[in-house]
Amino acid sequence: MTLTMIGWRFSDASALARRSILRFIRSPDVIAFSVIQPFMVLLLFRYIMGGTVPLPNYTEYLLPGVCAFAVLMGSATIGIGLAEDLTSGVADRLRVLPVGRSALLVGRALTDVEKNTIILPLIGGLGLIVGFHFVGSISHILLAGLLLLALGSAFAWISMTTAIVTGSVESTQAMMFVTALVFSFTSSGFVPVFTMPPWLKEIVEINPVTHVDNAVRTLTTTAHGPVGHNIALALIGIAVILCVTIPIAIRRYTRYSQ
Amino acid sequence: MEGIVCEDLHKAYGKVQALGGVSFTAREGEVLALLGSNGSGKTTMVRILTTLLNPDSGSARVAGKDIRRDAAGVRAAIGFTGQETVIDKFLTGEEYIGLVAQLHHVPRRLRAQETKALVAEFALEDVAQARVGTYSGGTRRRLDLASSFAGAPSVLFLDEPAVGLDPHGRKRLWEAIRRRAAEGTTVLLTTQHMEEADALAGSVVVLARGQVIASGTPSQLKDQINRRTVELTMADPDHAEKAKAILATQGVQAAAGEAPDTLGFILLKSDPSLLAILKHLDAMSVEVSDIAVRRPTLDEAFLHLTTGAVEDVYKPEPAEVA
Repeated sequence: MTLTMIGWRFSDASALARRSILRFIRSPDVIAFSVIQPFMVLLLFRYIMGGTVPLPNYTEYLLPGVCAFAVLMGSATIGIGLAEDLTSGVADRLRVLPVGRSALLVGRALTDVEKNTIILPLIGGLGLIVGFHFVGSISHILLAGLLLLALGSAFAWISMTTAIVTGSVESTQAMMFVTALVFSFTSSGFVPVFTMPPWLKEIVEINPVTHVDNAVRTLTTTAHGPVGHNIALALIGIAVILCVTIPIAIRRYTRYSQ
Repeated sequence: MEGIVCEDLHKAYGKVQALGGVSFTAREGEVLALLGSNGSGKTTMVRILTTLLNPDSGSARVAGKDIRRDAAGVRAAIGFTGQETVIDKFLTGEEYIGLVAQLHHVPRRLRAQETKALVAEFALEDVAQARVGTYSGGTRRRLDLASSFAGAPSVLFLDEPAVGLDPHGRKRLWEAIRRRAAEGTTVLLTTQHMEEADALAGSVVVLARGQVIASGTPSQLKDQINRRTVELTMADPDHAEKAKAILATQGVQAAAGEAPDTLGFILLKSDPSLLAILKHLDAMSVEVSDIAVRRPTLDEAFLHLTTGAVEDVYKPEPAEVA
């Protein structure tokens, strides 16, 4: 591959990412629901269910989990958008253009990063309203943000793989909703792991969302813990997801209409 | 150089044979119309040539590139408008054309210029800054077509391009196609509108059940129906009935035309020549003041080729409503 071709591949992916982000920015209802949904969860756990959680400062504990929940739910929309492209003929329109086969997928994955870059600060701001205090340094907060973006990207690829395999908007929506709920609630995002039954603890321990939650919590609050260890485990989990889903998604997308 | 060369293309969907050995060639700068009834294999053909679908067997080259071995090269050389208009509703018309141009790797400095030219060519100036979601169906179609011209493709595939266009839009499209063909672009056009194929195409390929059943220029296809529709105007209206009886003796079944002084009939190749008929009428003292001869239309030729049907009875042309 020549340098010019590599340049074109970047240009293709960034053009398609721009297309998707314009769609997001120009759909205020989507932005609103992307923020309202996790905010409702934040309020629900903070004021209604939080009283049952045996922790002195539950808001500090909760917000990292809600941020992870937000990026997981947001990643579902990436797959739904791709399923719409596949079923409406947009993907075919793009496939007759001289763009790299992976450009549409890479563009959508980049959109997820851009979208979460807009949404996460908004959720952080809402967290401040309900009593959250950022304790970590700016670099720690940025590192926490990057971890959440990486988690979002991994789930965006799960979501896109689901879209390509099912080829249906409805199936993608249903499957990704369940996936986001299962990964969010079988993690340390909402309640401490020590309150869970032993069999569930084992599942929670291998869930990469748990390690992202723990790492973000340690980086942004007064919580103490092995931050480097959690970051490493989170990155390993994210890398495993990406290594499995990216080849499947690209291969299935290339053969999609054959 | 040939724009499109197909050799013995086969494609089946399960047990359904969509293409059963299709071969044809379109020269550089030629407009080729691919005609056929619904389900005849036209769209499968376009999807194969645009690299969206692999054939089961056979080969094809588009702009000199093999569709299997150099699919990327084919994509770099083609423009495509599908049967259905598919455009991102949240982009503006200008952004959409610009996006397609960018994905065709048109350099940034030329992109705005090309977008502007296409917006003007398809009369989209008034809506270019508005989001596509606000466009009418016809305007979306014009934008879809304009975008397929972005990147100056050397081969254009237009699948039913005039669907949803008003007469002005159709005229603009035809002009754009003629202009590109004159510049050397090969155009493959599928259409259900025979007058469109007749007006634009230098050659026509007719598909039926996935096979080429006829090909040639529109004129050659029309000539495959060996018949002319003739309408005679009598100098004396009272002679119409007499002329009808004389023609009957020649084996020609005539019928009254729209006007009382006219008489029409279908003249087959096996019938006496028109000159012989006129001479005979003259010999029988029937004076003819005017003669109108109409060749078969491409519509009639298409019906004849695809169903074998030929209208053998003269029916007067419907009178124009003022």
